[in-house]
Amino acid sequence: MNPLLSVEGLHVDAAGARGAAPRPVLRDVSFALQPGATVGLLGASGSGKTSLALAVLGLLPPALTARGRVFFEGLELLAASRGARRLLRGRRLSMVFQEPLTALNPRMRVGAQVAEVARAHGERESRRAMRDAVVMMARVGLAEADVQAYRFPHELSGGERQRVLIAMALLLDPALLIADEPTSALDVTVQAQVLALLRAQQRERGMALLLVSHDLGVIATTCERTLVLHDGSIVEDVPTRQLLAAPEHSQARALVAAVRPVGRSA
Amino acid sequence: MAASTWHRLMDDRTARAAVGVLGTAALVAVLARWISPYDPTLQPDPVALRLLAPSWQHPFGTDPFSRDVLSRVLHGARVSLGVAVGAMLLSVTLGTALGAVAAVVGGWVDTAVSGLVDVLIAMPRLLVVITLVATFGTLSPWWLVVLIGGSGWLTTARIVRAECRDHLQREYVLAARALGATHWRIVWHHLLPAVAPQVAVTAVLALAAVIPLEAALSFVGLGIQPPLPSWGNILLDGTDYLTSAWWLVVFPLVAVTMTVGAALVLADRLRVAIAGEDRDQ
Repeated sequence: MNPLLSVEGLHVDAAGARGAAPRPVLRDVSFALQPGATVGLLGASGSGKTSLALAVLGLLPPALTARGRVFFEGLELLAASRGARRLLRGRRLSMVFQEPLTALNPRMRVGAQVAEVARAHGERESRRAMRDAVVMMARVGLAEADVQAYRFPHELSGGERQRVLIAMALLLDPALLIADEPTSALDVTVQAQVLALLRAQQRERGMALLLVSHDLGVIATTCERTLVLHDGSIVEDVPTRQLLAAPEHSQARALVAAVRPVGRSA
Repeated sequence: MAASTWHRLMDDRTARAAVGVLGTAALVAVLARWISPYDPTLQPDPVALRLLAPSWQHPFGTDPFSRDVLSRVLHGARVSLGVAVGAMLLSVTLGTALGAVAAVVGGWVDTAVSGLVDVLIAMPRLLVVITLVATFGTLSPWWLVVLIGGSGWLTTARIVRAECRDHLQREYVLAARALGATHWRIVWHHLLPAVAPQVAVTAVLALAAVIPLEAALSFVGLGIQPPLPSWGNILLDGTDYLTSAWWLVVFPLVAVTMTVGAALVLADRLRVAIAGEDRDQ
């Protein structure tokens, strides 16, 4: 089976200050993701996890440049036009962000923000877009979605906001969902609910999930395979069970040990 | 939640007074034709009825051509405020568009727009406009709108650019792009609603800047041409009689001062109301 996403020799460099050499953020990262796979990307903060996610989406900030090759559904993303990449985002390839309050526009009703995704991908009829948005919000477990859709982000709880973000990401049924620390800003009981939701949606849709986290506990309950990122390199790429039992790489071992007791106190 | 900014503004007695003054001025301007006691250009008897002091027949007196000053001030509101509002709309639209484009497109476009703003902002606006009018000769009110409005977009562009750059850094814009939003969609659905309150402040300030500008141009004879009345050229008619006929100068001056003052106060209170809005989030 052809991989859904295949990253080959990806380097990301941060432009140095005037005259200084560029600082590497990611070094020679390679991995592949099969359709429907659940893969965790584990790393301490500053290890380059978010840069990896943004590089795949083609949304690196201007100070960061990517080299290498990223194939998604057969298309080489780093060489693709901006328009082609934009059309993939939200439709085939979606992302959920860490902090649901800042990832939502404070001035826009949440239902309208979900509907925006359909509108950005060519839905002409605003009423149909809104109706689909409400259906999706209900499917991701937002209570009274038809009422909540007309609220503003600050009127919702953290867990509800994260469900809205997930509804936005899943609206157009993507083949790959990248979730960047989707539970770190939530309290523990809500974390479990959101993870269960992501898992359920992943199974139901046969969608691939790349779960980015610093928290081994989060990844262990959700992902079959784990990539350990340390200082910009992938130091381990193993089934999660094996990682928990016996991390091979010394860095991975240290990371696993270090990550465990920290738990969820991001 | 623009609605809550509006409610906060309307809870403020000073702001309500300013809105009242501006609303009255606008109403007078619109209704001038029907509420004026006389034709503002009619010269019934330039000998017997010239320079009459305020009376029941002529509450604001008459001018050297025997015209009714009240009627001229009321019609002057129509012309002066019409030019001012037109110029304000033009400058705010230009400024918002250029500021947003500079922020979103970035690169050489941003450098060009910002550079242009930096150069033009150093030039005194009144002198630039006077030079242009002197070059083109006397202008119709429409061209006056274009000229005054076309020279006033700089501060709006600067503020909109800065605000847009700030909002472009926010995660919700990144999140919108991550789900396929185009630049255009981000500008229209995310940035413009976000900068709208600041734009409203610059619009009110632009109004406060443009009313005296039109008055000044008309006062030096380069703006609205007689017999069409504007607050500036009514003042001009009165300068020769400053010591003998105070009513020629005082009434148009009060009109200008009150509207400009109200606009300045409103801009200030609006800024406070918006700051309250940001605090609540």
